[in-house]
Amino acid sequence: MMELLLSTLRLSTPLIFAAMGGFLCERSGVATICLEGVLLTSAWAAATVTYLTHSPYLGAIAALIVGGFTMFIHAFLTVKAKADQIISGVVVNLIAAGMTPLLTKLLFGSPTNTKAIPISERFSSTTLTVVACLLPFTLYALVYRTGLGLRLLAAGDGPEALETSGVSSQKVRLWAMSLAGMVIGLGGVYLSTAHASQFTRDMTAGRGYIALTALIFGKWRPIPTFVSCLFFGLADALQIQLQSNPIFGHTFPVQALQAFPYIVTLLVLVGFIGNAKPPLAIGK
Amino acid sequence: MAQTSPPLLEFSKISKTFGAVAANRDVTFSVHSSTIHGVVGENGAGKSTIMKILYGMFEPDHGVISLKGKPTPIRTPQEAISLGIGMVHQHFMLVPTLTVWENIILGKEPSLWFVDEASVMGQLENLKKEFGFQVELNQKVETLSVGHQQQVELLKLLFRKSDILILDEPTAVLSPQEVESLFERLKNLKKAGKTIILITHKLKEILNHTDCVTIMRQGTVVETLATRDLSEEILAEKMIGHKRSPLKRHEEAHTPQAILQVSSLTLKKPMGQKLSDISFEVNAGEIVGIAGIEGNGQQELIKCLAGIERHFDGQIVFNNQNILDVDSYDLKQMGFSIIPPDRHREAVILPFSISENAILGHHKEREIRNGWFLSGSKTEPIVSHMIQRFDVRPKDPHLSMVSLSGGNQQKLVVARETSRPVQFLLAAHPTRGIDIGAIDFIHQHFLELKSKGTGILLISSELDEILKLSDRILVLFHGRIVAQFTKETANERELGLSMTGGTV
Repeated sequence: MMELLLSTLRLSTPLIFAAMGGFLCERSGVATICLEGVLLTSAWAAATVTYLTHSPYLGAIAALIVGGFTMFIHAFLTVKAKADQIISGVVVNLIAAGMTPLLTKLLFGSPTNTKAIPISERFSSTTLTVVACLLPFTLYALVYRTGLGLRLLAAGDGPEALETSGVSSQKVRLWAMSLAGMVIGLGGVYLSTAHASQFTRDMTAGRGYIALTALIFGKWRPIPTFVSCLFFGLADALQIQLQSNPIFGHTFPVQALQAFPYIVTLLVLVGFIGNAKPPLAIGK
Repeated sequence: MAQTSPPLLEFSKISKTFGAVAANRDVTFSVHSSTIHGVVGENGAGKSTIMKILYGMFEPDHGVISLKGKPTPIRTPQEAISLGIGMVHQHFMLVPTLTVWENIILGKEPSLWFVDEASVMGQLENLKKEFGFQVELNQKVETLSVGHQQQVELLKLLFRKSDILILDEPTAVLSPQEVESLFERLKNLKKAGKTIILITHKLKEILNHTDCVTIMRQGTVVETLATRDLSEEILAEKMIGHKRSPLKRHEEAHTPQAILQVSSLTLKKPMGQKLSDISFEVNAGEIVGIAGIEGNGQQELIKCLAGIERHFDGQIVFNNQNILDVDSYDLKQMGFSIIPPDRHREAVILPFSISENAILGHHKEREIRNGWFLSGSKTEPIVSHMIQRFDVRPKDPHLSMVSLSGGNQQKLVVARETSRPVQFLLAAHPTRGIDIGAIDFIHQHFLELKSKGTGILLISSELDEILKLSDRILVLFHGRIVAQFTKETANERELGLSMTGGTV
């Protein structure tokens, strides 16, 4: 039981970082289909820089910068160039999926993975999990209790009102999205230098999309989103346990078990998306 | 008006062009401190443009704005706000999902970090008390009535310590009671030393509530004068540039013959206003007006009559046929026409051309088709005739509907709905938001239709319009018909009283 709980927390951590980044971005009025791509580039940066400098902290800083920068591309395309938010997000994901193996091949000779980081140079996964569990509450306070948060909410739900109040909604969005990129970057750090010991191609495996689902499931509010991340983490933890523990004498095919979290996601979407109300200015 | 000190606000020779269109030409007038100053004009007269220049949203091509005698360039809304100029836009600029107090402090938060809610609330409660506002600070804006939302907008300006308040068509969406309390509040603000600039096209508001008025026409100032020297006729004349021609009334000809009979119409729905037991008839050659404050069942009645809402009890009979038994297209062919209440959503398709809009709903008819295809050459003479007959401007049928003013759009809608023989016309808010010229035109056209035997049901929240045109008036209140008047017995006072549920 304890094992299942710890496993749930470990598996939820990257989802929480990604979903909280998504929360900041979407609340400011911009759709974040690009969570997956930001997670991927920051994971790559963390593993690569940690391996090259032997410092997990420099790796983490690199991941925050690269995560912030990847999100900034999305911000630039959508906020400044007024590109369609979904298309821009897809473009970012495609760039991330293509650039990371390319750069890996240039640096390490093989496109599939970076070189393994010795255990002593890996980032503490406990620290990151604790940060992930505190983050939703911190963001709640930031967004719902401060002046900056008020502006962020206004940018997402009534940008014209914000503009006529004398605040540039573009600036608020750029600010919120860069911060979002850094938050997601922590998820990347966790994936490639704490949870694993290297970057492997497409290692995010759809976690960005599941985080997005958790955000919708949590109705764009930080605490419910946090809870839904834990729920998806639990689904993942269960599937791993079921792989090694046969139930009623049956062993399920591994592929079916691996599909389990995604099926749960699908059911959740079918059951709950009807009630979810996104920030009003999203997509505009 | 005695002038010792320079006026608070002075526009001198302000011009602004958009492309080839001169929105403002040499606009010059001044506004004095602690007055309610009206700016009146038709749509497109340039009143919004000059106010947007004052609020820093547009930069003028020429000319100077002076504040307290000092030339002051205003480049952005932020600059305007810091100079004490605030604006309530016609479409409210509020964040619906935030609470009242959050909306008020937005952009001028006491701190960008943690906001001391208690001290903000105390400050706002004081403001509310000082100026007599009733709005609840902790409510979300999306749950408020429009009247209360407007209070939030005003509080927002007062919180920013604005001294000059610009209100753009503030009464367009308010009920008569809300209008009353708005002007009550504006008078209090004036007493407290604020200066109010009121943009409107409603003459009564100008006459009853302003101290001074600037009349604008086609981008220029016609005149600025003290309101007490004015009458409604003079004001209208200066505004439209010529005398209003009085409505020509025709001889009453026909003997009553019911064209539309509504009996015991009852609508029970969980959402919106219910209708209970509504019965009336419209005779050939008669205009029946339905008066009432918006939201008392007009919307629902219109939907039932138009065949959009079909789950009602009771009957609506047109020419001895239950309208639910007839396909709406066939109904139209039989001479049942509708001018829908929401022009942009229900009556026209804005990106389509004038000509496409003019045949909307008639595209099945042979006279405009070549086999399966719509025929441009067959459509053109029909559309040009409509444009000529109804004086729709500009006269190019290929222009997009967007390029027409509201009045011209509405004239085209009326043309489309009445250019074939019409037995019954449902005219829902037919002159909402359009200029006097177009209103007079449409009213005259209704009287002509009437003289030819069309029965018209006129649903409007403009009491003047109802009184001017109707032969009989029914008053709708809380989904019931609470009073009936004839042309002879109707007067504004009694009508107004029954509209608010009072007994006559």
